[in-house]
Amino acid sequence: MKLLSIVGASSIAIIATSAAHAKPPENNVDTAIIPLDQIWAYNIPGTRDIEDLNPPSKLAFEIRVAIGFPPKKKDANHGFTVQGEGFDALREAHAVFVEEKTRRDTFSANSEISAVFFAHETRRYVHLHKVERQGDNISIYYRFIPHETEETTRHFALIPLGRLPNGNYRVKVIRSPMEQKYADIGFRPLNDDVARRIVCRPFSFSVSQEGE
Amino acid sequence: MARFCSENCWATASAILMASSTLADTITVGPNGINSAGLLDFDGMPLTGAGVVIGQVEPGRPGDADVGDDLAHRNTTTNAADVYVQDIAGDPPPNANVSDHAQEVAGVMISTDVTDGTSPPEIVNGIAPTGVATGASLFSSAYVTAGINPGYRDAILTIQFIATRPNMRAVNHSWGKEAPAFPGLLDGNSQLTLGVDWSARQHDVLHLVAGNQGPVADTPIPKDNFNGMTIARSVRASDGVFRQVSPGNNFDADAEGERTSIALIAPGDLVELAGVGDVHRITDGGTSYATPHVTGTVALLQQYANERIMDGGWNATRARRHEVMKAVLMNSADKIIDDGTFTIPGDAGPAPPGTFLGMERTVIDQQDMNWLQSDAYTDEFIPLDEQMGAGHLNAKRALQQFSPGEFDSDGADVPLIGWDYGHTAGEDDHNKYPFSLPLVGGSFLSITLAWDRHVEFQTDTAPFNEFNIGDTFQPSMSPAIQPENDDQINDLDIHLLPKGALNLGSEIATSFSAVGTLEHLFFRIPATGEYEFWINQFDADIAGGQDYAVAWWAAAVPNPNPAQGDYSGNGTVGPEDYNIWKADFGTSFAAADGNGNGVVDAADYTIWRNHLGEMAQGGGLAAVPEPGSGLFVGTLFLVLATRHRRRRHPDSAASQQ
Repeated sequence: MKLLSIVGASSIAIIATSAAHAKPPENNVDTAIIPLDQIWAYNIPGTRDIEDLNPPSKLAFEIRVAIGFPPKKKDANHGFTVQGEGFDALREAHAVFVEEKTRRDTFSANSEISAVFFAHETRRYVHLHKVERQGDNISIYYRFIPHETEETTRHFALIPLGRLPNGNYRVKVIRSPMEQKYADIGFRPLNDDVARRIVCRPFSFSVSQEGE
Repeated sequence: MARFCSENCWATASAILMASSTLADTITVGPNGINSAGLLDFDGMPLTGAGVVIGQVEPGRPGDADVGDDLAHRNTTTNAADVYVQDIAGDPPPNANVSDHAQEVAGVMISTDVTDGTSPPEIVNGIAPTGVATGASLFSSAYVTAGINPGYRDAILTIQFIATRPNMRAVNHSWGKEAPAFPGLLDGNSQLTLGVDWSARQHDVLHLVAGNQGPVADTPIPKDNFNGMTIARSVRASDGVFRQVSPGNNFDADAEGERTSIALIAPGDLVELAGVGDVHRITDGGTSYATPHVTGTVALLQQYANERIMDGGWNATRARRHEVMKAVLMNSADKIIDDGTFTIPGDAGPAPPGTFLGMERTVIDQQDMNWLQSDAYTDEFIPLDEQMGAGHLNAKRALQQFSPGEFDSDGADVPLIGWDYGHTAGEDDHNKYPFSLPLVGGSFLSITLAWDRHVEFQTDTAPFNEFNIGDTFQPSMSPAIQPENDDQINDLDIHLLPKGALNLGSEIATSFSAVGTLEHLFFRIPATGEYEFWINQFDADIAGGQDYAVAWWAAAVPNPNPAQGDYSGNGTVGPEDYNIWKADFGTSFAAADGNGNGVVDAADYTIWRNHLGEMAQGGGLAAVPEPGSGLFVGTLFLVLATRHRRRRHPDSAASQQ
C-alpha cells in the first residue's frame, strides 16, 4: 500500500483547495480569485516555481538569503508591491530585499503590479492557500504547516495583481487555522506573537493616473 | 624554559591524518566545515566509512534503485545499503515514502556527488554536495505516523528495527515529534525519549538527534535524550568558516532544569544538498543537515577502529561503544583557535600556539560570545554551553583524539591524548588517570566523560527485552531528573589533581554537574607540573557500578631528549620511558618518537633499549614542581580559592561549602 507522508498529503489538500477557488464566486462578482498557479513563488506548493523563471538567475536565491531569520523581538516587516510581473517583478523584489531600495507604494494605472509576500525562516512551512481581491481589498490567506523533519524554510511569492484601477489598496495577510489533522497527531498552533515575527505584515499601496 | 608542545605534536599528527584535500572545494566537509575530507586510516588509506554501518530514521526514506524507485525518486550518487518502512524487513513499494528531506539527509552522510552547480538556476560556487562518509553502508527506514496519536510507538519500533541491523554504530534522527505536554516538559520522560535512551544502551548505538530550532514554541523530542547527542547548527562567520551558532537555533525551550540539550554544533545553514532526481539544492537550513555531519563522522572513526581491531591492537567491544564515540567527538570539538592570535582575557598578549590543543576555529554563539565567556567555562556545575555545547565538530581532531587508543585507569601513566571505556564499582569509587608527562602551565586541558542513564521497561511483553506494541518504558520517578536522587542515573564527576594525590581534598579543578550524564572539563593549567585526573562515582542510584567513556587531551612540555630514549624528559633513560613508549605506541606523540619519523613505533623501542641506564645529554626538562612543593601548593591554593565546591542537591538549592 502506498503511504503518503504528512507533507505530501497536505500539499495535495492545498492544491485541491486552490483549484476549488479558481473561479470568482458567482454570487459575488466583485471578488476575484488569483489562482495559485499564476503566482511565482519559492517553496509554496501549488504555485509556479520561481526558479523556473526565464532567464535563469541567482536573484531568487539571493532573495532567500536576504529574507533570513525573523527579527529579534519584533514583528516581521511589511509586505510590499513592485511594478511588473514574472521576471520583472522578481528583479524589482530583489532590488528591495537585496539592494535595499525603497519600497514603492504608488503606481500608475497602466502598470502591471505584483504583491510580494514573504515569510522568514522557521520550522513550519508557510503555504498560501488563497489570494483574492474584492474591490480595493486584497487578501492573502496563508497557513502554517507543521512537520516533523528538522529543516527550516523561507518562503516568498510574487502575486500578480495585473493593472488596477485608480484607488488606495489594502493588502491583508490573513492566517488560516492549522488543519485538524495536524492537531490530531500532537501539533499545537503557533501563538499570534510568534506568527507576526515570521510572516510579513499587511501593507497598502495606491494607483493613480500619474503614478510615482 | 618550558615551552608548549605545539607545532611538534599537532603538525605531526596533521601530516599523518590528512591526505591532500581532494575534496577541499566542498565546504562543509572541508577545512572551513568539519574537516573530514582527506582523513587517512592507520595504513595511510583514505577514510570513507567503508565497512561501517550507520542508520537513518525519519518520516520518509531516501530512494533506492534496488527496491525499484525510479529516477525521480532517488539520487544516483546516494545509494543506501537498504531502505525500509517502519519495522518491515521486506522491500517497500517502489517510490513509496521517499522524501526529499530523507534523500538530502542521506546525501550529507554518503553522497559521492562531486559536481558543482545547482539547477535551476545554475549556481556555480565551488561547492559540491559530497557526503562525509561516502563509503559507509546506510540503512534507512521511514516511520509512519497514523491515527490520532503522536506516533511515538511507530517511531520507537522503527528506531529499534534500524538499531538492530547488524553492526549498527550510529543512527541519524533529523526529526522530532511534539512533546506530550506543553509547555516545557523536555524532561526525558516521554516514551519516545525513553525509547531512544533505552535503545542506546540496549543496542549500543549512538543516536544523533537534530536539536533546537525555532522561533516557534515547538518542543520536539527526543532532543532531550541523555544517552545520545543532540546537535545544533552552525553558520559561516564573516571569514567563511562554519563557527557561529546559527540564528536558526532556538534555545527558549531546552531540556528541563539546569541540563542543556546541545552536545555539538555542525554546519547547517545554506548547505548544498543532493536530492531526488539528481537535483542539487542549497537548503535554507536546519539541524536536519547539521546532524548527519556528525553521524558520518562516526562512520569515519569506526572505520579506523575496525582496522585497529582487526590488527589486534584495540578491543573490539570497547572501541565501538557509543559512549566512547560521544566522548571522543565532544572532547575534540573546536572552541578557540590555536594559531597564536587569541588573547585570553587578563593576559598581556596572545596565547602561544599549543595553548588550545590545536583547535582550528574560534566558535561563537548567537551573541558573538566565545567559549571562554560561557558559564560552562566558569562554572564547574555547568559542563556545556547552552548554545555551543562542547564546541564545533572537527572530524580531523576527532580522529586525533581517537587514534592514540584506549588507556586503562589505575595502571600505567596515560599519554596526553587518549580515551578509556571504564567502570566504577560504586559510590565514592574512583579511577585514576595520571599523565605520563608534565602539563604546561597556561595551556588548556580538555576532558569529557559520558555515561548512560538506565531506562527499563515498565511493561514488557514477549518477546522480552524488545519493544513490542503495548510495551512501555519506566519514566524517572524524579520530577526533574537529577542524578543525585533519581532512579535512573548514577552520578560521575571529573577531578583534576596533582599527580600522586591521595584524596579529593587537593582537587584543582572539576566538572561536577548535578544533572545529566555528561561532564566536560575545559581548564587552564595553572602551573607547569605533573597532574592526574580521577573519575569519581558520586552516588549509586543504580546498583552494580557504572560503565563510562572518558576522553582527554592535554599539552605537554616538549621533551628535549626523545632521540636518546628519554621519553619522560627526566634526564635519564629508565623503565619510566618504556612505559611512555608503550602507552604511546602507534601514535604520533612527538615526545616518544625517538627517531622523529612521525609515529611511535618499534624503532623507538630500539632507541630506548640502546640508551637504557644512560644519562640523557642536555639534561632533562626544566624543573617541574612536584605535588607538595611550595610553588605548586601556592598556585593550587589560589586556584582552589576561586573554585568553591558547592554541590547542589535537589532539596537544597543553596550552594554548599
